[in-house]
Amino acid sequence: MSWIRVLLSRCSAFFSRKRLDADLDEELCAHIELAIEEYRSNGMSEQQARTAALRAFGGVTQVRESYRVQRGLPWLEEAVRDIRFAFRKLLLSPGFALTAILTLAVGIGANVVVFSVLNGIILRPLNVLQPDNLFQVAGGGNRGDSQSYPEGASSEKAS
Amino acid sequence: MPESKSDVLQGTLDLMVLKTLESMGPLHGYGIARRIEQVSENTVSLNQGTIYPALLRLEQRAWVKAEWGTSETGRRAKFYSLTRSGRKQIAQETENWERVAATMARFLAPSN
Repeated sequence: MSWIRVLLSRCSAFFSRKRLDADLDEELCAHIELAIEEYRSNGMSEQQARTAALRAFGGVTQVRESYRVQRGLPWLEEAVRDIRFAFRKLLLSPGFALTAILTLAVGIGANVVVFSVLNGIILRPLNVLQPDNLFQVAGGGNRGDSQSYPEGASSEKAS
Repeated sequence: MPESKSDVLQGTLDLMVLKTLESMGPLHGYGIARRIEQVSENTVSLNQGTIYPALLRLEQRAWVKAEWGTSETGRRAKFYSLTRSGRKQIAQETENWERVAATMARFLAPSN
């Protein structure tokens, strides 16, 4: 299950980025220095040796970058950076931030109110055993003219 | 340039590193890179730096482990060595590689 190992290692690396960066820099420095030593022992001047060592190494920056991508959780690091950036931007323009927050608050509030009313009145079935068998009993002519249960019961008795 | 060098094939660098550690014992990144250049007689164009992401990949899978130590010239360097699961991995990758090579050889052989 090597992917679990990789994931664990990436997670733990995420929390010790500073130390690992320093580690990597020291390691790469040591590499270049070792290469310079070897070139110098072959009779190159300090400057030539350094140039040759760097050329043999390839791009230090690229290596560091691809190392970092391989090491931690790049998408999480990016998300954290984005969130920080967003907060900084909002702090810089408090008027805009306040407007945005108020807009969101009013929008969400209105939606919640409308939905909870609709949910209570229309969407949720009535709290009786068989709501299908409910009927509205109304007086003859005027349809909207309904009666309460006791009233209906008494008029039934009377007839 | 007299001869064209071939790029390191994807996935072969890992095996080269593992094999190097197997035959040389604990070694620092520079040593591994030099050894690969020497064994391949400079026929692969290897930016020495690419060895480090590869080493990290192997370390994450616990096939190699790294420790700080002192080089033969008294410099502080990170030394890599094989782990037990690294040795197992070599056997497996060698088998894979030989199978691929044998298949390719069959295709490349003069047909008759």
